[in-house]
Amino acid sequence: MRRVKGGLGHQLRAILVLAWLNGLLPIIRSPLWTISTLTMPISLLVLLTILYKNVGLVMGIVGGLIWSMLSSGTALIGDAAYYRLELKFQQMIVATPTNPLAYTVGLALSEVVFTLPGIVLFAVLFTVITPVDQWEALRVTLSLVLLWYSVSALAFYSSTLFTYIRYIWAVASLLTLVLGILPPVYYPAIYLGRMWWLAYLVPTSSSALIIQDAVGVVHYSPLQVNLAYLSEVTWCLLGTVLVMRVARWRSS
Amino acid sequence: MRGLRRSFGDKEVLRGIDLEIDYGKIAALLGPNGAGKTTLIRILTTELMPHGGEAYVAGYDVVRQTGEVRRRIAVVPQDARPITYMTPYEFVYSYLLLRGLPRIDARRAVRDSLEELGLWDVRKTPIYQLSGGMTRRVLVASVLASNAEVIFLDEPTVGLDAVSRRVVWNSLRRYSSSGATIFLTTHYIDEAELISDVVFLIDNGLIVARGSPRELVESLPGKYVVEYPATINSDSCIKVGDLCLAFVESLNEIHEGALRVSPKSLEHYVLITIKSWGENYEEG
Repeated sequence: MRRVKGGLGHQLRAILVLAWLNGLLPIIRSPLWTISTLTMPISLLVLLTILYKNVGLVMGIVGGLIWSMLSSGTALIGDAAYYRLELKFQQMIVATPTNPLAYTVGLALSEVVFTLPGIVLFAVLFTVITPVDQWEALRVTLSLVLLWYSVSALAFYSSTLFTYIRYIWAVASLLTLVLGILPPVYYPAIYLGRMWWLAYLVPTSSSALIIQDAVGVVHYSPLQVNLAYLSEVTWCLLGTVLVMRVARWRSS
Repeated sequence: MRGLRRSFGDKEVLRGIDLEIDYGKIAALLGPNGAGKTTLIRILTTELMPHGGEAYVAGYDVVRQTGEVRRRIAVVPQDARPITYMTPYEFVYSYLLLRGLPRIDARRAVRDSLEELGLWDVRKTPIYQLSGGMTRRVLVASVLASNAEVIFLDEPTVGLDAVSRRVVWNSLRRYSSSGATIFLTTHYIDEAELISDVVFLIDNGLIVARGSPRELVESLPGKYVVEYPATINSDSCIKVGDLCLAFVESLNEIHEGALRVSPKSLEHYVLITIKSWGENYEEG
């Protein structure tokens, strides 16, 4: 019998394998998927641009970037639940050296492959419409990566709570509303007045706050921006703990 | 494993399982729906925590040494299906990479396994275009290619035709001859009788019988089993559902009203040993 390894090298390879099998393969076989993920953020971009001209355009681009990351997460809930409840694929992977974090990050990376055209489109628009220096570009990228990680981890954890696949569909729509539309993603947090701090309660609006500040469409204080980073890091840590300790990888 | 227990809510599904399987053996777990077969597999494959007792797989504790256990096992869960937009080659290959096999070894193992299970010619066909039997064989090919020390198969041949079942049986035999242990659950008693070295009967969360298929059959009295309707008024037969089974030495002992006569078999042993036929409907 051949011994297999389960160290960091294996976990990194597992991430790439999962990204390939759940992201690249289906995209190659059915490219229409990529376009379907673009419909909502483009619709909002057009609507905001018509209504609010330049400011609306910038807010639509910022929102579109965040929406792309968010849709990675909501798609992950469906895929992870499908693999666990319908295919029992997760149960097969539990009995391998691949750990739950690698499984989650692998699936999350595969969802990014799906939303890559959206990310590229909005990144190009972002570069053309709102030129920023390298430092600001780094801040925007960091914020989006933190958002992607936290939303993916929370999505995977959420997927393990369900015992019936059809319940997932309603939850994915609800999450889009709660994380993408209601919080200040497509509008400035200052519109919330004295309740502006509500933006920190979900990772999407924390990220939006950072990016809106970076492109100069809204100006927040350094404290507000740093608190947004803190919020994003906290969501990442919480997501990691939920995936590693609480999620139904091994049922208690 | 010793005294393994597991409950779901108020229902105690496993009530103290004791069993031991030697290396290189094929063990079959037989029992009615809801008896605890799947729960036992889920615990042994580290997917479900037990609530009591202890279990070791390949010498490692399934609770405290999960990492060591997971490196040595592979499982086909009950009702599992491969990812259907993938081809058999892609599915088995990616599973092996997720199990930690080097790419060169994985490629070789995929080829061997697909050839053995009669899937090599359709290796590039999307799984959704394959028959149900072939789809199931893709899963079996995955775990048999894994080179794991212990393989768990939860009802691996459900839905397979007679030829496909034999293909799988031959592959399991070949795999176990390399020194690996195979633990499978099945509802097909003939399957357990034909391929397993040892059979365990589970009923209401307890192992109620164990032994080689031959030993269990030999423990039955007589040579033949006569099936009568349960309405027959006789103390010499054992009631099982709508039937009453009488064990006789000679065909001369058959009385009027007999429905069927057959040589005694593992199926008869199972029928009279299990007490809870049709009582459970929940996950087991």
